[in-house]
Amino acid sequence: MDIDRPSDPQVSVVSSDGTMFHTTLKSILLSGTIKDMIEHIGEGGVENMGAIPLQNVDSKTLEIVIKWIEHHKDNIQPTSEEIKDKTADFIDPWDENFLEMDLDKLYNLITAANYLNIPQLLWLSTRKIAMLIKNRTPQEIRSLFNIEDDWTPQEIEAVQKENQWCEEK
Amino acid sequence: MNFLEHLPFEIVEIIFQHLNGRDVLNLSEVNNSFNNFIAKCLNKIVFNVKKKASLESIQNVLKTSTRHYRHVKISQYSNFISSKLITWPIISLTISDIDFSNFDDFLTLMMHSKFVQEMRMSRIFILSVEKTHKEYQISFEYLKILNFHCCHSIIYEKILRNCSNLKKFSIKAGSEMPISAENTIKNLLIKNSNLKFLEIHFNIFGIIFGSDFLTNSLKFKLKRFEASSNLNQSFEMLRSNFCNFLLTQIDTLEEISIHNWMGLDVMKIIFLSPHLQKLTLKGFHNYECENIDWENLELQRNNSIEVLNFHDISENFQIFRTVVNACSYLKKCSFYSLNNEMINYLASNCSKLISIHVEKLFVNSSDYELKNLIIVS
Repeated sequence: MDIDRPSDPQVSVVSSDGTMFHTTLKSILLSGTIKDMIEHIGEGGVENMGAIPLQNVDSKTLEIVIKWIEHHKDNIQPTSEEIKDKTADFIDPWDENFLEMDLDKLYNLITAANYLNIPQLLWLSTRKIAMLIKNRTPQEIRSLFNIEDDWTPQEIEAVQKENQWCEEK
Repeated sequence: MNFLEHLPFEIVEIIFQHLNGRDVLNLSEVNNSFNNFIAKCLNKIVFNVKKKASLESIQNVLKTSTRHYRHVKISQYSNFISSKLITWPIISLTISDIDFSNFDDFLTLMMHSKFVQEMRMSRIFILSVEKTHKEYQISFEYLKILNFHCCHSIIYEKILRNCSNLKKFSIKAGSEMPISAENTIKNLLIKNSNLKFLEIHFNIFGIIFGSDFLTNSLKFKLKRFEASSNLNQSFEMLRSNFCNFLLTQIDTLEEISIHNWMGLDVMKIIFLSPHLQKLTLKGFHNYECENIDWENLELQRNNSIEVLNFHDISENFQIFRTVVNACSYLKKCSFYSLNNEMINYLASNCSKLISIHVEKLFVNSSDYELKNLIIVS
């Protein structure tokens, strides 16, 4: 199948809760998982392909994913190998703004980016969580993520003592 | 919303890729489940034992700990090692300033290091080597980075015998070595055909280049080479063997660092390296150097060198001119000293410069060339 044709045909995807979304081939190919599926449909081509069912992504999350892939459809995407060495020297302000969302939405987005194999989106969204952790005290992290403080005084003292023996590699 | 509960393990691991060791340690103090999770994510954390601690306090820490540290660093603390508190396999080990009372203690530590990928030892001494009876069969097949600085020669002999997958090897001897230890080092160099980085210092240099046996047997092709050795003119054979060695390596070398004057032939060969990007030269302050007619000397121009560290305390302009003239595609450089004449020469000769570091700056006006590129440290 020739996926490099200049026109950008319509493709439909269906979320786990049965909502159908229309997007374009170029956008949807940012997902490594869907790219693999499309490469294997063979005869009939994309135009005659039915809606692609995505059992693991709900409609709210899929809507967010589609917004992201449509915005980035013309950008060159790094592979998951390339992204391992990526340093965060510059983040597109559009992406920065896009990732301003509730934690539960963000977790769903991360899970979807992982399932759909969109390396850049997975990198950006996991980085977002990491940035929330950086430069915050354990207490601040607990309140931000609503994590229960289950330490006994002896336990936390032991961990703090142990950490004094540790340093960054 | 606790991400540890809402996201699968492999995704939390991806989040951790964005964090440094400090962040991870900080997370370990959030609650029990975070601390237990961190026990599985120790690749950015080093367990660093220094002598200031009482043995009892470290014992207590390790007794309750769920962590099996992959990177361990121990300095000045032989009691910690002989107390055999490390009972799990580690992947990087750094030990320094330790006198082992006997070789068996040292071996026990090595037994827990057989999966080690990086090993660094400085100033390790074994007080009594006679009482060693233990069978010694550690192969260190995962070892990629090995640094040995000023250690007891029996360590070279016993450890170096068994590793053949080294990528990086740095060695500096502290004292005289028995022939058997010298042979172990030579065999190691012959055996490690995938070696990319080699650093040799002082008397090891003499051991390696004392005969031409080695240069004919080496199979590795280095990317980076660093050497320091006081080679005056009387070491003619060493110099010629070293030149022959360099000639076998210049096709692959990208970084060369020579810390002492080793003769003009060495200088000439260095500038022939077609892929050399980073060059460090030191040690021009000596009698032989002063007697070279630098003014009429031209080195082969090398257009691949982008970074030059040139440390000449003699502040001789003609040496400076000869070196800089041979690398006019420089982007970054650092010097011991610069005066107006040198700066003017840099400005007219190196148009691609983006930064210049200098320790001592001697200029006789506040407005001089390349002013915006020069950083005095």
